[in-house]
Amino acid sequence: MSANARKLVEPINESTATEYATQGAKVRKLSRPDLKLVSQLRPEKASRGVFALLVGGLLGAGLVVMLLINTSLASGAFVVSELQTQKSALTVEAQALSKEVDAMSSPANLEAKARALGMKPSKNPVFLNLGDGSILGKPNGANVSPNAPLPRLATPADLTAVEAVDNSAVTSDFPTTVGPNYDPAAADAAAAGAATAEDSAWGEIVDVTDTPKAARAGKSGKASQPGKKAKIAKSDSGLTATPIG
Amino acid sequence: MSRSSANQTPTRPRPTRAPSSDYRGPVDREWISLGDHRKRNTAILAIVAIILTIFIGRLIELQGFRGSALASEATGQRLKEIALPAARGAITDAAGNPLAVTVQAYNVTADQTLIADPVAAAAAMAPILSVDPAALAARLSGTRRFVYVAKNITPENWQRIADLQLPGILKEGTSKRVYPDGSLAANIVGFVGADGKGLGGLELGLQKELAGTDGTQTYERGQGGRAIPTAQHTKVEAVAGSTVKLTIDRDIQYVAQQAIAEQVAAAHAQSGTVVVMDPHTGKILALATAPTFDPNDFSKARSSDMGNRALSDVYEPGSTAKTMTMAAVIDQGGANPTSAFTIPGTLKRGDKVFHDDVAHGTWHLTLAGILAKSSNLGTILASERIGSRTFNSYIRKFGMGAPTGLNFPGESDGVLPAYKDWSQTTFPTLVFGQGMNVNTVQAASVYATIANDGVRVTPSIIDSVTAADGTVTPGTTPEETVVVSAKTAKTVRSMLEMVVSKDGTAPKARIPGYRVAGKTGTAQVAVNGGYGRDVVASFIGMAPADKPELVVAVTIVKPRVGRWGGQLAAPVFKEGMMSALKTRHVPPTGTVAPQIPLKFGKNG
Repeated sequence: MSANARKLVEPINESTATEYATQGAKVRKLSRPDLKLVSQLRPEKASRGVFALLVGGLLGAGLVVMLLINTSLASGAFVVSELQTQKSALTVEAQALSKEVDAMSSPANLEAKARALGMKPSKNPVFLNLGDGSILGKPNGANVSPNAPLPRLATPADLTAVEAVDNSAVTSDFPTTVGPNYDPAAADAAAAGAATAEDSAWGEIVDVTDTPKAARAGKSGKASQPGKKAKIAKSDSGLTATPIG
Repeated sequence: MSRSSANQTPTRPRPTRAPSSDYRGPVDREWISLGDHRKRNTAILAIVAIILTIFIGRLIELQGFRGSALASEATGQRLKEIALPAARGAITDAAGNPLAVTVQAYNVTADQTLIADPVAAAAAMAPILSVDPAALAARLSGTRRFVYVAKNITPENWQRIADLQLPGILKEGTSKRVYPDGSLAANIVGFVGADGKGLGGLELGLQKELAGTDGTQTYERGQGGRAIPTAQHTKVEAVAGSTVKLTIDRDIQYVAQQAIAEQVAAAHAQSGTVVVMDPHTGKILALATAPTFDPNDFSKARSSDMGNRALSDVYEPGSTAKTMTMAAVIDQGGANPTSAFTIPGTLKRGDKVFHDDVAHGTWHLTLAGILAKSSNLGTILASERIGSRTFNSYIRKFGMGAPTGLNFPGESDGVLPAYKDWSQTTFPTLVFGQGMNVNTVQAASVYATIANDGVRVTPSIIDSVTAADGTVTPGTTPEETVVVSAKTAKTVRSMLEMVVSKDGTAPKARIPGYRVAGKTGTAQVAVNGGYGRDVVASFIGMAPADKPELVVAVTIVKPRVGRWGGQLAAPVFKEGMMSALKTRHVPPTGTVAPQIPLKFGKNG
């Protein structure tokens, strides 16, 4: 409050009254404003209740929200933990499956399977020119002796049978593979045994040596197909089907 | 503040009305004057002040002085830090077939105090773990809270053990390096130790790339070991190791390994190696050594079988090096394939008398005939047309005595004496491949240069490295050096074809339908400054000779049965080359090899 304003509400004593009187109309203007008694300010009971309710409500709501957030976080932690367990289980499963694939597709296993089916590694690389049907390279025979058990063309059922046999062999801890010490003679003997056993179960035998029997089988159409295919070198195993020759 | 007020309490000035109480006489002076409310207040105030002082003092001590230490101790009890091991990168062949992978495995542990019947538990577990039940029972009996029962078992086998529901049998997660193809390419890929770090081969050479970076996770553990969600939680993710793709072709490698293993066994040789190379890119398609080992279980393997002999073992190349001499002579115009040479039975150079492998009278051979018959003396005579200095610069350009560039652990650069140290006999010795040492890859690289029209491409074995984030870094860029002209290379190839002819030293290397060019070597092994009976039999060749796509080098060290390169190494070359031709789809060219006369004059 400025000094000037305080002056305006100063009580008027006589000397000043005279002074003011001389000033005429100005005095009337500066007379102090009307004062009145103000009733004591009492807080209203109703508004206090509302306020308390508001604060209480906010607190309560805050607590509830906190609780909800905590609960959802906690349940999230459970979900995370569960999913992690699931993930590691799936990883383990994926690894087990790819291990199986690796073991099956390993060159050693493919060679053993091919031999079990009566296949032999082709000797000279031979190519069939698909453009003009000419043969590049010198085809050579499989050198199957006439007295040896005759290999038979594979059917899808054979492949299943071979897989079933081989799966039972792959039970050791980490992939057991046929190393360089692998004995082809033993595998041949096993293959011959398998072929004989299968022959009795499967009546039809297709001869791949150059005998009239082979010619007959060739007429069925079944034998001629793989015979032609055999002349195209297969890349995967370095093995090809035994060519007729 | 409160401490000082407590001390002051007894001496505080009495309230103004206090003197009036002095009137009360002896009874009022007793301690039980608490009836006076002022005294009572004072006493209570004093007690409260003392207690508060203690509390506040303790509070300051705990919060102010030991606060941080205690807080971290408390958190430490809940806090759990776990290492997040980085997954080791895989090693694959050129087609992406895995040669080395890391898989989940478990260690089986036991708390002996919880096992009531060790014999029964052992009997149940023994068949799964393939161990002796009695030994296992002994391992399960006792009072130790933690023992290992089995290490690195597969998840499937752990599941079978878990299904037995044996009390006190627990698992511990770990990882295991697995080589799905066993010994296939084992000498390239290498092996890891029990700690999972590379100990040999590329596992060692590329340890940094394969290992990745381990991460850590820190969290506060609540009931049941789960993380408290709102508590502090830090996680540094592990960065998985890079996947390394080799230039090796699994199928060619397999056949090469089989072939060399069989021949080494048949010849009762000390060792053998096969290198299959693409001469245009320098990529090594197969690098087989025998004997080899199984990196899945190398406890019984000999350490000498675990390195890579094609790179670590050096030998005197012998006659296969004559190709370099011939290329240099032709490139310099010193002679052409039909140039005539009259070769005496012996030749004296410096203080040494040189011979051929077989004693002979005077031979009349062409330059092609010298190579086909592998005459040492003829090679000396031919080399003298260009001189030692020129010869030296050529063999260095062919990569002799220099690193192959593969940076393989344990690799040897070979030995080629510095030109200034050459004696009078050094030059005539070097021209037919004695007096220097090379490894099989270096020797193969010479023929790859001839196959690639005289341009030498440095060999490589790493195709690319793929980081965890998918960034692919190609292997080292091959360097190309022009060693001889394309015309020279073509001429040398036609001369090498004569080696494989029926009059040459290696008819066994012939592949029906294909034109094959190559050279045999039967180098004596130096023993104590001289040469003993032991030899290194070799054959290095290429096919198709008129448009070479593949180079195969075979070395058989110290055979006991058989001796000559054309007899021992050529059949292995044929096996490896046929497999590579089939796998890489290289058809025969259908052309006919030109015939170069090997002899001249009256016996020609």
